[in-house]
Amino acid sequence: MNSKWGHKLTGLAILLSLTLLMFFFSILFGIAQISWESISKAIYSFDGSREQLIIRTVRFPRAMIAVFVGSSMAVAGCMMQALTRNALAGPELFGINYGAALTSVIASFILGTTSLQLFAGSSIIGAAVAGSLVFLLSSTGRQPLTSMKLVLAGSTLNLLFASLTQGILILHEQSLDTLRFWLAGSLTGRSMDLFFQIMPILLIGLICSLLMGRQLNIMNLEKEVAQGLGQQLRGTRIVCILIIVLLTGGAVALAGPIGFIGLAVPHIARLLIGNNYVWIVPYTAVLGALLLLIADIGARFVLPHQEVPVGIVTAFFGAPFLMVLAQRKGGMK
Amino acid sequence: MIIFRRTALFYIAVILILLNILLFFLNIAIGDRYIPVNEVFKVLLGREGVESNFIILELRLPRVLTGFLAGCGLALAGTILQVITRNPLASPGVIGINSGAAAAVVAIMVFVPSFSMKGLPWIAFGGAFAAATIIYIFSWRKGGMDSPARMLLMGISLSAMTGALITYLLTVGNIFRVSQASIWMAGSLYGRTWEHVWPLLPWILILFLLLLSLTRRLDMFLLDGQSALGLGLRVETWRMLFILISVGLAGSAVSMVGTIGFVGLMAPHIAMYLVGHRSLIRLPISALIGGLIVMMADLVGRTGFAPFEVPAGLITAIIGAPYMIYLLLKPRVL
Amino acid sequence: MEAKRNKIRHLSWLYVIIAAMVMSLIVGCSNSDSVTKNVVAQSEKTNNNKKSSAIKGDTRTVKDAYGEVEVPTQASRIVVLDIGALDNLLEMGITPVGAPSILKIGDPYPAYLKGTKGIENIGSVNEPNLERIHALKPDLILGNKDTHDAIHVQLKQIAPTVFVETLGVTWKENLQLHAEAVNKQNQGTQLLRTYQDRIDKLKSGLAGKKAKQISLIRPREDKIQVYLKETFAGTVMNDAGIARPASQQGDGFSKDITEEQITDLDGDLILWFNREPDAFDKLSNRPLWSTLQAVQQHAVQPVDWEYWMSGLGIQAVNKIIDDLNRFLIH
Repeated sequence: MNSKWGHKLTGLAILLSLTLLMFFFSILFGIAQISWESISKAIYSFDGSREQLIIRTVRFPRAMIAVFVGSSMAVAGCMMQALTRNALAGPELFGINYGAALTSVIASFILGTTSLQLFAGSSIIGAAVAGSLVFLLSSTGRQPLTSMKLVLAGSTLNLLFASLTQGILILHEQSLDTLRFWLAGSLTGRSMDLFFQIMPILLIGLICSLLMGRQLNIMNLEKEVAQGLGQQLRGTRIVCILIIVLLTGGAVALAGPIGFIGLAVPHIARLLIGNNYVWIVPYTAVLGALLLLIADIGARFVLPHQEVPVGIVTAFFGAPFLMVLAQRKGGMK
Repeated sequence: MIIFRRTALFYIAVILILLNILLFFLNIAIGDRYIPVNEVFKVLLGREGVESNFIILELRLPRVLTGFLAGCGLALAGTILQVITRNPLASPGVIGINSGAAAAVVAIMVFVPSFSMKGLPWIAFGGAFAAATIIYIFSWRKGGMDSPARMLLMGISLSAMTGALITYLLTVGNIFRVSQASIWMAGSLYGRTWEHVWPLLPWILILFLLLLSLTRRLDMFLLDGQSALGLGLRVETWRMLFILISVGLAGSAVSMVGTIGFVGLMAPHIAMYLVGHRSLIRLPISALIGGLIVMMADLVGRTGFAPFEVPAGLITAIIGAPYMIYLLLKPRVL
Repeated sequence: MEAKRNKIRHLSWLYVIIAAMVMSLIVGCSNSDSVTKNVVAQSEKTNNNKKSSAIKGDTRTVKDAYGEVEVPTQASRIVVLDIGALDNLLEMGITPVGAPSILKIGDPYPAYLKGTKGIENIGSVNEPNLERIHALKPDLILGNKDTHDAIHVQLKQIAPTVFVETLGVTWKENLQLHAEAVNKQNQGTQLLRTYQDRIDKLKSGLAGKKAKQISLIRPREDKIQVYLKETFAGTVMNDAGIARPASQQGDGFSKDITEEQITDLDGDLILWFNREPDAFDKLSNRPLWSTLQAVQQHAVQPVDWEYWMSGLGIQAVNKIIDDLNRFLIH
């Protein structure tokens, strides 16, 4: 192995340990006071005390959800950027987040079901439908959409789905709080059963995406070269789309539409290690987890004694990122 | 040829005015209780002692007028933006002016409950102005804007940020205030009174007249960048002035009706399709179409799902979003 | 040359359009002028009518959240805009002609209110249907400033309005103002006196026993809401001197907590209510929930949201006292 490999591995290791540290902080810090000792006690000598219960049943699962959702959103964004060769792609800009939210609302209000399987399933279907809409827009027709138009189409779809969601909630006379629940992502109060059902899906998606690095690289070769490999690439594309749908649908079912992780994180990863997708994907996965953990810790301290949905935090800090990105790449077509 | 165009224009204008009048009367006649058209006429002509006097004059008339004026304002603002950015996808909603105004108004509604309705356009103007300034600073370069797309992206990011800010405000606010603010934000014309019409009217009317007197300057932006630059160094000044006007138009409309999206996108387009680029004609036609869209959306929202009332803003979004995507699919846009 | 002519022709276009707009504006303005005149004329007329039929009694002056209002001495067609006014009026033996549903237009009125038959539904509390209210031809409208400030102007043109400042905590003042508005001051005072007697009795009943802390919560889909002192039910418990857990001492309406603060919910008795069907199960399935003293001692009681959470009037108060008696004394 050459030294470049070494550097990149070291970088990944540093990020991983940072993530671990944040994971630990996420368990340690919060409104309820937790002491250092009780964390180790909760692991090694669990005695059912409240503090340890908080650690085991609230903080730990929450941190786990943050890790999985953060990674999944980020990797999904990364795959989308590779697939569409568009630096501005991301689940939040492609209507997938709110598409998934809309189908979940339809499932729970129109069909009147509260079963978890159906909830998760509908969310994944919604992600698939919204995603394929955008991909259709991007690849069919005589003149496929430019990257910029694609982003506009996606965010317009987002708005449409959000409006439809609101309309359904009005006709079912839900209180206004309910809307906030559906449209702002949050990591609290999530059902553990749902987490255990969805985690395998996300895990499969993440592992598959880690194996896709080389194919993603080929896809991002010069257009002519890539086109020469057209037949081979079709298979890759389909697998990519499947992975994206699994990751985003699962993540939205679990935490709601948390924005801007999927857009911003792959860029940060690229800044750190360049353009090789073999490395970008794992970096993105770790960074996504890290950043969502940090945002989630932040969400606990914005207001005294009250939490805000983490989706607010990511949008507030992620949106300027899009501004910067547009500044640099805005002229690109 | 010219004569043909003239008559075509004439018919378009007449048909639009007639459609507006029709929608106006439908909005007044249809409601929880249907009021026969002849009775509507009697009341509008000032006949006293008619049963439905109150319903027409105090409930339905101010409501439909507020909707019409707001629609005009949004459509005019959209037209200006599309002209000066030479970008058919620009509109007050897309570039974040609406959400800037909304954030400012929600903040005031949540924190200063006693704030008077008359002052709201100013607050909305402030918010819209701040949003426009941010977008202007980030997306305009020296000598003009080099990428219209950049501005749209700025708008999307700004909308996302103000959206987060609004959700935050709604989390910390008093429960009654929050529910009032949420209803307002949905873009509903429910309960609009003359108190909404009167503050809105001068903003829309004065800015409209001002615009008409400036159409020659506005048309200057239709030329390609270099010729416009050739016309003098004051292009930048004019651009700022026009942005200010559109901020005033959109901001005042949003302050009175909440976020009614896509009107500022659709109306200028349809107007351009019907009557072409010349601002002198396109502006009034676009205003008429804007008014028409909002009146129609309110009528549908009010009667289509009875007994529920769906805010006009939702209807325009559900129609407008596919329209936007259709525009995106058309070649040679952007 | 051609271009210039073209321009002139286009300009004439402008005049047509401007003329049309100005015309419509003038029509609009003159109408609205006549509007105010009409309304003034109308209200004068109705006043005259009332004065001419003064045998029935003159108007009285009531002071509400906006200042002084002239109301009919004995209003007979009253529209109420919230459940508190509906509750209070029914208790005083008056059936309003119109009242709203709490959430959805057409929903039945709360079950604890008797004698609501024949009341016309006027929409939801948040967006009452003004046309329906007008069609009912009321002679008095009871609302509250916090919810209905935006439509006050229109309402007061339909009929005299008496608005209370806000709902919930101020229920005693609201009851008095409602009583005054319908000219039943004595009955209002009597109701409050009876309330005080019941509270005193509850207090003395509690005096001999070990003080119990009551936790009042609303489990929701995404969070748990803790109801604090400045809620409707909170005031009643406060009057009765019922202690609340340390985390529920604060002022304010409610506080949102997340699942790691479940331990703060503990008390000697937990009362919960909500409108979401599964939210309580979600809470009670949490391992932390079963560490609560109240849960271990089976001192968790669901209570009716219609009066604990959405109640605003005297009947709801009495139902709450019934519940408290049941839970604490018997």
